[in-house]
Amino acid sequence: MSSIRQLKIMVIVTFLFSGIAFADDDSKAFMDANSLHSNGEYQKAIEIYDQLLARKKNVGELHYNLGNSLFRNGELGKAIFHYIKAKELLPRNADVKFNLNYARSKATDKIDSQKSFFSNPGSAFKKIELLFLTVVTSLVFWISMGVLLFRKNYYLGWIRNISLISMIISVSLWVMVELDQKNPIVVTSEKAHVYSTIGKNAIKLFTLHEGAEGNLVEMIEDKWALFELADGKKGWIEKAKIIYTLPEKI
Amino acid sequence: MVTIRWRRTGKMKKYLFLILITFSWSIYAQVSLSLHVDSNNISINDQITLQIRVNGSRDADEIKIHGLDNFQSQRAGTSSQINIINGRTAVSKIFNYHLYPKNEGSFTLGPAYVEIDGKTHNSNIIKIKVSKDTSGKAEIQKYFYITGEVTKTNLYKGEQLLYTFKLHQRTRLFSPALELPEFNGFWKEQIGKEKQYREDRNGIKWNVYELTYLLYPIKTGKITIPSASLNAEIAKQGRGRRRQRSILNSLFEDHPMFGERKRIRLRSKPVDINVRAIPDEGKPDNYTGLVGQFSLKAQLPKNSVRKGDSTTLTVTLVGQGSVASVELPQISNGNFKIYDDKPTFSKTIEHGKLYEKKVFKKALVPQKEGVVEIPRISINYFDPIDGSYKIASTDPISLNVSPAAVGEENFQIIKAQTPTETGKKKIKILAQDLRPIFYNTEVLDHEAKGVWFKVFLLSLLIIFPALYFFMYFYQKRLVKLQNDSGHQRRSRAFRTFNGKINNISTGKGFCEDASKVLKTYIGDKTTTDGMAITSYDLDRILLSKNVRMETVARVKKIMNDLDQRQYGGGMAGSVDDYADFLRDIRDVVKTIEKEIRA
Repeated sequence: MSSIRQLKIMVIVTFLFSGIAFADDDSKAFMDANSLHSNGEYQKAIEIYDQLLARKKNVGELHYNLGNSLFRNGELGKAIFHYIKAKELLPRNADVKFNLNYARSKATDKIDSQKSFFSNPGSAFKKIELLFLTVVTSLVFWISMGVLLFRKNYYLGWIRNISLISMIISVSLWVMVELDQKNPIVVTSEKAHVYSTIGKNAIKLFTLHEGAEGNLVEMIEDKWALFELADGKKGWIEKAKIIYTLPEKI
Repeated sequence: MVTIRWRRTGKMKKYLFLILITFSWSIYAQVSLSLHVDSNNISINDQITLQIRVNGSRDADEIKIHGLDNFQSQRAGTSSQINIINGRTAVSKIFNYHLYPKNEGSFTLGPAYVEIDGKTHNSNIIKIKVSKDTSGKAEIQKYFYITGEVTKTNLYKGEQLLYTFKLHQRTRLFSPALELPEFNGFWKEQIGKEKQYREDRNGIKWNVYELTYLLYPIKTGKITIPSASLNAEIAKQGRGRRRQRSILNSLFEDHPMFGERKRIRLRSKPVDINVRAIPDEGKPDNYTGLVGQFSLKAQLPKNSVRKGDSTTLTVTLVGQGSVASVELPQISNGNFKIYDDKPTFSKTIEHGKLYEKKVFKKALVPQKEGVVEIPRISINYFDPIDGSYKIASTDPISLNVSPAAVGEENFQIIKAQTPTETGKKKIKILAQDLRPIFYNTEVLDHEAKGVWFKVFLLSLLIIFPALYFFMYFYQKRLVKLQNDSGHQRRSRAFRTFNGKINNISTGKGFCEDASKVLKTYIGDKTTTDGMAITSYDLDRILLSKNVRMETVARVKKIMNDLDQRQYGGGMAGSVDDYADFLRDIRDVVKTIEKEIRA
């Protein structure tokens, strides 16, 4: 066996084992955080969940557990934010939905939503699920179209028609969900004033309390954020008083 | 005189339409409005039938009548007529109303106004005298009467009052229409559904229809509850007929289609209520406006509980007064965690008195061991009977809290079950809390697919149609090739040439075969008849296919050489000569291939 080949194998083995080691570390950290949460040491649990989320930011269950610890620790705003993130990743999970609603019920501000049922029928699905569904229906449609080029078949015609309808529906839902993409912000401080603009001429429009939710519109000077409430109210708020995520690039 | 009623057969309508068109100028020529009543001297309990007749137009819709506010009115239908009298046609529209006087006295009804085609028309005036009770009322009251009764007429603002409407009847009423008073100045709520029962009064059996309203005065001073009234029809008693009911009476006289009717109106007496303000003297600071008599009771299902377990404290507020909006004061002594349940509310009528009950349930989770006390809970209220403020309070309750079971110190989720009628136990939610966290480490593998997976899926969305269109054009090409023989010849020319040139045998027929192969190639490549090509045709055929002059000249030379050797008798004898010919032919064909492709 040549030395180059030996080196290759060593690299591959090391890489594989390092992956397993990371996975073991994450599992241990997760279990530690869970037991800390169960023992009421919420602050420590929060720190570990945060570290895990830095490595695995798209695990809905982690956001959910962190939300629980934050809620128990009295950090309602952050808890709501992480429940929202959990709901984005686990849109049909009843526990996530329940805890989000429960936490929202503890928020002080009542903000009427202008949304109707028909505004986003795809909200029960993840974006990636809708995209995957679109790809599958598209695959069936184009394959059936391709086969029909060479061979006419009654049943294949029906498969093509049904897959076309399914594809149109899934594409529509996916596009709607993509267009409806929100960048949620949640107020994390006890009180946060909302201003009409930034600078000298700013007028205080209203005051929000911890747990109030909005949608990030713009971020300026890394200090102020322009946001919109569900009832259409808009204003500038100090970045330090909210929790948010910046929009995805793709 | 000929009178034709509207709404006949379709044929009749057609004739009428023609007649209307013909005489339309005379139909709308004269418009008049008139009022008619069936009686203008009535008692307060009688009714009048008012007829408003509009002659000369059927367009009258909105008619205004002066003096109608002295009566309660009820529409009794509309009809249209077309009269042809001595060859002249007249249309009219009639509006019927039943009027019921509100008060006694002399009243003027009319004039009525109607606007037709921008012109206002007015009617005559009718004087109506409404007298006091007549003997007819006493006669009617032998069979029907209504009452509106209250439980008290002197009360405080916010104090409970019951208004009961009763209809007593001994014979049948047709088309009854009940008008209850508005109860202005009161907050009102109907108690239960209407009741029907039989009642014996001085040996006479009455059918009673009863409605009860709960009232709370919301202002002070004298408030009048107006009369309730009932409009209905009764069967007229024929002259000389016996009053005794028979089967025939039931079948025909009482039947809506056969019996002759009389309209009647029954009224209850208005009721005056004197409402006083609640005195300020002695009013406690935490008084919340509760008026009536109340009692407050607290109880626990058991006197001992483990620390961390829960027990349900039930506090019941019951009394004569409005308890719906009452809230209990906070119980805060730090010994318990308290979770409020949604209170229940009910009303019951006992011995003509309405009792309201509100039951508060609280889940108590003791936070320390030993004997802990649930403190007294108190509510202030104003007692209208004594005219003073009082306090309803519970007794303090002692609860023995034992240590928690091992391993259960931190659990605070409690289940309380109450037996139901079926014997099964219903889970009663005492408190709400967060759903638990995920413990299974496998959830860490649920990480959502990253951006690259999304890019991959998006690229598939582009690749699938691209592949399809590739297949589509490929298939098109295949079909085209199959159907285009010229194209087939051109594309296969070189292959065919190669196949044939290798099979040419040296010898006698070499020149003929070589010439044939070359001509066949040129014929295939240019989609012409190759065997008919002469060297003179080559310029025209090959130059048009972008073959260069030099190449054409080489082809011509080869063909001429082959022809001369074939027909001129000079035959090359060496193998090298054949090989040179074949090489030249192959070389020139390759050149033609290149030049045509270019």
